[in-house]
Amino acid sequence: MTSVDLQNTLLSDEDMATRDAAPSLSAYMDGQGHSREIDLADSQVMQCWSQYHVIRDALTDPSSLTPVSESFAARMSAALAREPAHGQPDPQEKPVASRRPGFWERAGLAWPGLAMASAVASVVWIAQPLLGLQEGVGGLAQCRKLLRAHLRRLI
Amino acid sequence: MTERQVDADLVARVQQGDKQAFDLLVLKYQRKIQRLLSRMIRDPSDIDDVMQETFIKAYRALPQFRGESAFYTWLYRIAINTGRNWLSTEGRRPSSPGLNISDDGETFDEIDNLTDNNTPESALTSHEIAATVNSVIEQLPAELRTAIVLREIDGLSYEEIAETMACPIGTVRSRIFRAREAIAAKLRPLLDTHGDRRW
Repeated sequence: MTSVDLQNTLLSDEDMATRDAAPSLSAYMDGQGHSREIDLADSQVMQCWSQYHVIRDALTDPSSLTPVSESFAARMSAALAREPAHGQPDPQEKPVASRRPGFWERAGLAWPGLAMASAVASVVWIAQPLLGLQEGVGGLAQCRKLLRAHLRRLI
Repeated sequence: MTERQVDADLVARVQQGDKQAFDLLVLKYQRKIQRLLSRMIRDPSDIDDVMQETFIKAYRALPQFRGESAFYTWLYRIAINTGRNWLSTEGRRPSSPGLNISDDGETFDEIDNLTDNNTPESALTSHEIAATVNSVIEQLPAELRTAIVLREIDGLSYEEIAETMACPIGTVRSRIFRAREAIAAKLRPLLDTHGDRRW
């Protein structure tokens, strides 16, 4: 035989889907193209990937050409299947919305009212000398009365 | 994209939730990791256990992998640490007496100089596969042979091969694929006849 008969290397009809993926896979392992073009869930694609790497190892690192055990492959696959996929929410973690609010969160609900009361008090304090509310104790008492009324409404 | 970038692409897919991409990384590196561990640990079933632990540890740690080093360097470091922990837990000595692994997992020279624990049978299989690959390559039409040799042995990029062979990149891509398919077709019967072993 002077040259390999390439016609005999063609995959069977049922492997046509893989054959479509194989050129992309071959290019991808050389850094050409993108893995998104390849259906990684296809077991034939996996087989192809494995064989192409055996060829590469045979040419570049023949000492690594030692098959792994069937039991390793099966156990590895099962162990990986038990692992959660990355980049997705942990199903064990409760959704934020259903979480019971903590003490400080609940206390925080009253905070806007307190903040508003504090703002009103500050305004009155500053405005007092400007608006002439300082005229006698009566003016100050009126101011306090207004402030208390505001606080009652807000809290 | 270099080989390191191919790994980085697969790593990114795993980090985004694609577990199948990790299968590709396992298939690519399992033999190298097995060889590495076989230089530390003698019993094949122990090697399988430590190898599985290595890959699972790597999978779990992958969200923290930022690509400062190559993926295989990072994986080798995990394998060495896992193997060393196993030896220490089991109170055993490394299978290779001269084994003294440095903490910096980047240096593998010492490990590479050690004799691995390949059985005569597996050594024969390796030899047979390597011989078949080389024999098929010699029989390939010249343009396929040149393309695959420039790629796999000389490590040229498709652009460089296209320039060397004075042809479009698409032709290089097709020639390399056809060469691989021709070799794989001759290898398949050999790869399928190993009972409880797989490639």
